[in-house]
Amino acid sequence: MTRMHPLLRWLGATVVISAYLLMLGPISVVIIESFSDSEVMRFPPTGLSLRWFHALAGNADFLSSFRVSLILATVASVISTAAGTLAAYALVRHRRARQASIESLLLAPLYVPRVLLGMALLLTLSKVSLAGSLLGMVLGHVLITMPFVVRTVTASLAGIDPAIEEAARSLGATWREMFLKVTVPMIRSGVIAGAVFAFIISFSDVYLALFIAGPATITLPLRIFNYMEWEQTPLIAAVSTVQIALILVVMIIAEKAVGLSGAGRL
Amino acid sequence: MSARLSIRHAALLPAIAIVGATLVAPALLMLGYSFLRFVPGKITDFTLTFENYQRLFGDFFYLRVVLETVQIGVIVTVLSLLLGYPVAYFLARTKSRFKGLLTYLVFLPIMVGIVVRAYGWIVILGRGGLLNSSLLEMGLIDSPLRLLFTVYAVTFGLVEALLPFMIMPILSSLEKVDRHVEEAARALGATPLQTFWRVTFPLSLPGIVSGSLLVFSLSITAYALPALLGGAKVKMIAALAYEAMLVGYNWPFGSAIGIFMGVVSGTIVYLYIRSIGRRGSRA
Repeated sequence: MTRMHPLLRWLGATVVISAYLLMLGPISVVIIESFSDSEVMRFPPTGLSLRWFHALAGNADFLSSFRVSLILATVASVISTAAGTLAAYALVRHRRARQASIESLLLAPLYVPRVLLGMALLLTLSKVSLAGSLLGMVLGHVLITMPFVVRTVTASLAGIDPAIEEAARSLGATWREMFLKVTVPMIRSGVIAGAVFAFIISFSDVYLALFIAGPATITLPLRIFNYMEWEQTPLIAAVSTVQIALILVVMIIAEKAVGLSGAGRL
Repeated sequence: MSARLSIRHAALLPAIAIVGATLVAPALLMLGYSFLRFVPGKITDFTLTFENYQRLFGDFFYLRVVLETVQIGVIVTVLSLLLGYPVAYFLARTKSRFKGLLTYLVFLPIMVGIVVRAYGWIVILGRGGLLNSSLLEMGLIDSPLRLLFTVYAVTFGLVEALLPFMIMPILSSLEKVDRHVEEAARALGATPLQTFWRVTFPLSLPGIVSGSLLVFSLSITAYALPALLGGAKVKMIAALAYEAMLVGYNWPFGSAIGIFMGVVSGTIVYLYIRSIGRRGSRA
């Protein structure tokens, strides 16, 4: 460790701590506020209670949105994991002409602002009468989550010797047997990491829902967004805390299972 | 052989079909819409026109929004760089056993989602929020300040939201810096500060460039956070697009704004990808 001037080190430490406070502050206050006992948003809370979680449990709007988000994130991440894994495999194993353009096409959704994706999808889905439908939302969410799968699977495929697959083939396995019984088990951590990221990205996205959700397909983040525009009671803190907890649990389980941090950084 | 050929193409098909149907085709449709005339009450009139673009670039109101958006984008990028660089440097150099956890914590806010964090800012900046109650408690103010629905709330919110996108590329470029080069500079008599400015910092420039481009592109296209923290007071360009599409149902004009944003952010992303590419080939 190179020794910096004490004043510089002190300044650096201050900036680093401030940056962490800035990044973690908003989430922390939301969690604390969700246990507030007061009628309106007040921080720090005057007392602690679970009243807003009780209120949440009896709130049909939030419950139905929670269901929508759960179904949407599950279906979208399953589809994007399947399609993304196959595509990553084809890209890594079979170099081809236009390799780079196909790769950028598949990663493009990462770089196109979500607002634009939402707008363009609204125009398109309206043309085929899918605006507001769950199917339309699933299509949009597959689009935004697939690049994450392509990336994590590509990263884990890079560490696998194609000779193992060729051996399976020469021992008489069909392509499908080889893929499902040899390849997939070896890239398991990349596939699971991709699926987890896909689920989380889908569950927390609000942009697409802002444009293409219908009355029956209001996702949890969109419901929170809509509530926030009108009122700011601790009920929103409670539902946000549930969302934070769900995402944390998913991340921790995945970390324990495969080690997300090792499975290719995003 | 032919079976294998079909598999290598078939494996790509679903993914390409999805991106084609939900990204490429919609983008083309949007381009088409942007040249159509808007007739109120009717979704579209199929007369080709440039008037949507003329309106966007010819009206002082829209130009002001564009300028304000770019201004916020620049400030957010600079602040994220000033805050993010030390964090990336710390993470790249620390030998703490909490390094993994601390890196994880940088990611966490992205995963939790923008809406939840926007509510966090409301709890901090709102009338009964953390900042106002602290200032009242300390006797520095007599009545709550209006901190929400200001350009400052939007700026800080965006910095918080986009900081990870600045930290990650800088961290990865700092981790590639060969420690021997720094040691050589020290051995040749450079002070730690000189070593940093003349060796480490220049080597981390590619990370700074890609982080800045990414943060700038994401901040000028932000919608949800400015809408929640800025309300009607702070209008950024994405809000114009949203209103045109979903409030005024003026899809042609909304599409024109969208195409404009797409061209601007596309150019930035192109530069970003080139900056990554160059970094890759150098390694």
